[in-house]
Amino acid sequence: MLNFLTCSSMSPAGRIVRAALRNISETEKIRQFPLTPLIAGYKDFEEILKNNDLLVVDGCENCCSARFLDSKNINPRVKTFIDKYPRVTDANIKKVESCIKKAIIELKS
Amino acid sequence: MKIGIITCGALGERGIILENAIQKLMDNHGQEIISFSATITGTTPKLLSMTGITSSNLISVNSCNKRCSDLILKGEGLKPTQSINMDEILDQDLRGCETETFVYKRINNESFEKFEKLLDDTFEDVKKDVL
Repeated sequence: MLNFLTCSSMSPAGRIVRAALRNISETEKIRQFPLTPLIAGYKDFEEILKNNDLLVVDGCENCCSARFLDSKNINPRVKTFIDKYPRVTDANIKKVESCIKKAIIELKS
Repeated sequence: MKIGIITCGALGERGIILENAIQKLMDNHGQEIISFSATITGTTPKLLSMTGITSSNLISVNSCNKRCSDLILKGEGLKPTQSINMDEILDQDLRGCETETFVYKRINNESFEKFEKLLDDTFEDVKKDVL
């Protein structure tokens, strides 16, 4: 089981990450966590994140997920962020899928 | 004055319903809306005040009874003029954020349409008071 914490924005970047992960979930067993419950203060959610090897995928160079995890002393195994894409297109989703798959290989190794 | 739409960060089954509703609202009212995710609001709260969003022109969008979007806004001292929650209107029992696997195919059209209508109706209500 791969545990992802991902950008959960509704911007094109966030939506591309969501779409890419939906595609990846067809072939990989994954669990996806958004950052929101952690920011909202749910301690049970924080414990789940602390107790799993996380792969963080941020939707842009702001790296909200990685930065906020850092503030909570949660250390993901692999962190990656994708380039900012202005539009949700199949081609952009494929590019991000490929980027996430590389991060999965790193996590598995 | 624009209306601020702050959405929770739902992924999976709830996330795709949320994405669809936000996309439709933006397609129809893009010039009247500023939309941020609760995530960026929580990590960069100044974004709201910079863009003229206050409690009176703010809609909070939640995908489950955790109401993360409401909680994050409350933490920033904001009480949205309207708050909606997917759990209160959908008949389907959808999985939560921390679930292991999502089955997107089981989401029925009625769920998409119901939430889309709720968001649109809420926007129109707030628009009457604000614009």
